[in-house]
Amino acid sequence: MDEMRCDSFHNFPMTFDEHICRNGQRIVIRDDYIEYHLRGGINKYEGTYEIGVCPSPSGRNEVIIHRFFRPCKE
Amino acid sequence: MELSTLGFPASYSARVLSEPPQQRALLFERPSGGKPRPGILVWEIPPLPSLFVEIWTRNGTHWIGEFKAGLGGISGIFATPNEDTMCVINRGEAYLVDTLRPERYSLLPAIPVKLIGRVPGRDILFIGDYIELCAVSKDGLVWRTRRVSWDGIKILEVTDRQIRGEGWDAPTDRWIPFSVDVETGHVEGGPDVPH
Repeated sequence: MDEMRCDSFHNFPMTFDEHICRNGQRIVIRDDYIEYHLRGGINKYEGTYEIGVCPSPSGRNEVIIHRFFRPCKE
Repeated sequence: MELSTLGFPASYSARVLSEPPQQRALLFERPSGGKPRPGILVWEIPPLPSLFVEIWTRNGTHWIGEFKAGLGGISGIFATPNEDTMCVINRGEAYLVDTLRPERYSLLPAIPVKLIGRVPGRDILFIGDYIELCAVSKDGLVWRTRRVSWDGIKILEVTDRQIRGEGWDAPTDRWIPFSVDVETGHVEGGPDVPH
């Protein structure tokens, strides 16, 4: 899986993460999995930056477990 | 890099040039979406190299195309169920091109292309990215599945009736089996992706 995820769709700058989580839509998928979505782009591609997090046991922190730029196809 | 026929007949021949040609090339690229909206988060990265492909058609005509690159994924020249139409993929960006009317090309809705294959015994070419599959028949794009993964697809088996694979489920970090009807693109199974 890691080999599959070594392109620009996954390796956008880490400095984007805080901006995405601060300004993006917060979507609670399950108690233990939350996603942040923010519209954005990479060069000519428009799409959505998606960051998936797990809340820590205390609930005070969130650990990033998934990063993906999902291109818009319309 | 030569044409991969996948068993489809092709009325043309094609090859990738090792360097940019001296003569003018037809340009194949994704249309620009215009100026990004103010405040939108955009990552600007240097473009990857174009692919220059030389084509000889069944009419005896000859042309060269410059195919702009995507952001990552596979590359190659593939025959399709239509003997006059080829599929050129440059680092994940897939162009469907009528070799006799190359100005009328289209982009396939797989971004980036991570897998391509033929449905055995059928005139169907299937293509996949990280989240869904689509298929090309003799007349062009014939179906596109719903999302079958949050991020990543494994193909396990392709028969003349269905494509069996697994899609990654982000909340559980598991691979969930799915199957796709090769006639319709209808999906059974797979992870539940709410968006």
